[in-house]
Amino acid sequence: MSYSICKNSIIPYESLWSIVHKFSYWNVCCLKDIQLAFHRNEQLKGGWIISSLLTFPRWEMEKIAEILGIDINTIEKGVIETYLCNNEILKLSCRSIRYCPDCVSIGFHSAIHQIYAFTVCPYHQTVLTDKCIHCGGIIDPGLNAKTIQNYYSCQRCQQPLYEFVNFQPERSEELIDTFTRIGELMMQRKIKLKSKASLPSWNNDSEKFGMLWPFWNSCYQNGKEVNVDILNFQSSNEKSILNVNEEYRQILLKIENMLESHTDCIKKLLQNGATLGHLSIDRIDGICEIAYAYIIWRLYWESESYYASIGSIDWLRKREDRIRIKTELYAIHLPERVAKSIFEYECKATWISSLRYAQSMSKQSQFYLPGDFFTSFTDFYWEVSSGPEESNILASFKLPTDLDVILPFDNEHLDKMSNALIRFQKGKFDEIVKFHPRH
Amino acid sequence: MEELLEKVMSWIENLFTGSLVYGYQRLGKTMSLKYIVEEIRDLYGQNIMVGIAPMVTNVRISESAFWGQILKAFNHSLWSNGNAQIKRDRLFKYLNIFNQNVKGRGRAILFIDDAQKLEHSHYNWLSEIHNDLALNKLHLMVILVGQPELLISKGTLEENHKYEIISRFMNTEHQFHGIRNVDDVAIILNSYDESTEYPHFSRCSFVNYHFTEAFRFGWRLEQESEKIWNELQKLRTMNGVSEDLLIGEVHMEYFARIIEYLCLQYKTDDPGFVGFTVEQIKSAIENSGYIGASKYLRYKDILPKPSTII
Repeated sequence: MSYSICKNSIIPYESLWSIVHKFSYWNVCCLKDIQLAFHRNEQLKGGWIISSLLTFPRWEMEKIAEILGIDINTIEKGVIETYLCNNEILKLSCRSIRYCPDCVSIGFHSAIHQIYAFTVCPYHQTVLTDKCIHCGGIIDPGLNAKTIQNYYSCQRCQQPLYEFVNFQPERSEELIDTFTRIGELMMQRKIKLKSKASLPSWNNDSEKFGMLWPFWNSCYQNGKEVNVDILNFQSSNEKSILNVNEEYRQILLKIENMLESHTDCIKKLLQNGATLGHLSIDRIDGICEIAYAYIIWRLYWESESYYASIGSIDWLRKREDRIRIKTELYAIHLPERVAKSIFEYECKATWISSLRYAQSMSKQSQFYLPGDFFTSFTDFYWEVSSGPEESNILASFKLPTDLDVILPFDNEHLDKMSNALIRFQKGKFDEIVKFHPRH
Repeated sequence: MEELLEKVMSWIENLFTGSLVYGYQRLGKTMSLKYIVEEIRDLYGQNIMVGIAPMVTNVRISESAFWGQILKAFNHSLWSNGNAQIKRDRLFKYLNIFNQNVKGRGRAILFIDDAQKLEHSHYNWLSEIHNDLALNKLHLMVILVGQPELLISKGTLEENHKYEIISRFMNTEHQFHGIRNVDDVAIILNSYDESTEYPHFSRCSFVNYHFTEAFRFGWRLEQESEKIWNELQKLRTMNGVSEDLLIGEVHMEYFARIIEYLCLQYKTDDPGFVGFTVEQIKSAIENSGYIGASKYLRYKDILPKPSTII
């Protein structure tokens, strides 16, 4: 058995939304028919609902490729997951369909159009929109039970986003080339982000700390410029390391006034940070929000090993040669001028983000989190043993001998810290019940 | 069958819009269609879309079922989904996209089996899609295959002045025959000798497999043609049904059973085998069920005899 498949009508980097719309149009079918057609697992037929054609958790790409007679890579390039990490998808890409009216008119829509970083179409330079030209409704990426009568029709009013009559879309080599270059850049970026070597280990938890969005938000703000410069990107830039010390220092000086009155808090936090996780909650008054924001902000930007001996703002001003900011990503993906501009924006945005985060934290959360931050240089480990009523966590760590800035309150406390037992009530990990020093 | 294939090929070459093929029941029309479809596909490759749509009896005339049958005939996976309008659109787009894929050189041939079951509405729907496709430069040829009642349908259409349907789908007629004489028998038996393959991919013919030694020494099943035909004739006469009412042709289905019975029951490795005995042939004919069935394989009383309707 077969389907109506228009040969050579699937353009590389075309979104799966676009492919499915075309397929529906060719075969005059609806959601249910497509489910039956593309789903490999017979048992699941009709047992699930397609919520989005942009992220395909359960669609069988191999089956789709087989039916359409195209390479599976073409299908993979049609989903947003190929370009963004899982934890970025919701933040950095549009959940409704953003399209370029000019692209749609030639039978093309790309998943790259969905990324907020692009405000205009990389090829046509037309402003992207996610609204129907007829009813003004947001274009939903899902399919409904109604039969699609036209390519790219609005789910609400059933009108086509553009009058499209030809079965064969226009295949412009220039368009394909543009999207290929951007798509490859995006995929490289994703690989880079996934590589632990290039980012601090705690950055894997970026969902929790919300640290990645500023970069993309800045791309969004600088959208047009980024688009232009990405296209002019030269491979010779790949190995250059971006030096943004000056920008970094300038931003730091801008927030100096705010930090000035908190210098003591910062010092205190730095000195006692490693021990905070092992103190009774009754013994601390809570951490200064500004100090906390400052530390997590700098941890984000500076290498952990260098950060370990940073004591104050003065240090940064005097010994800037030792700063190493993690900007390889910008250098690889963007020309220096654009990268610096984005860095500056992102640097400011992460500061605000850190501050907001610190302000929103409860005292109890503060009590735990510094432990996580400082573990990277204190050889820390947790050992969990669960019982029916409670869980015991054995925490042990070594303090680095060469660090003079991290000093415990007293020798007695150091003894307690070196082998401590913390007990949590089952199911309430954010609430400490009791702390038992283990001797 | 070859005669019909030749006819169909000439219709395709001459861009006929439709034709009518009729023949009595159980002569092997449906099986012949499958063979013809394969031959057409081999000859024209991807530039032609061929399908056989068997007409089924519905309590009520259903447009949806009709388009579903045609979609199924053309191998579309979604032949059962949707209402009549959707199915019609689907068929239209399916054929159009096929035509575009072959750069406008596409042709579509639809064989409608058991076409005597078609009603006026069916013909109208066919005409409409035919016109729509013609506007998109796709030539659809509809070949109606069925029992001689098809000729009655044609007559009825003529009485109702439906000339546009007749001229479109019934402008030529062809009668499908069974085995009519000893020459036909010889051609078929020759195929068993030379053109069959048993088991599959063995490059050994059906007869060679069962009579290996005799075959090596030159015996062929074709040599038995006259004997088999004569026995069939004798038994038909002995059957007692008036010759006028009987269809003067042997049906392929029963004939195949006779040959298979002979080869399977009397297979031998004897190099001195010179042919079947009359008793063996008689036994094969009796076991094929032909004798019992021949009483009913006759002209229907409502129909004129072939000589008068052609």
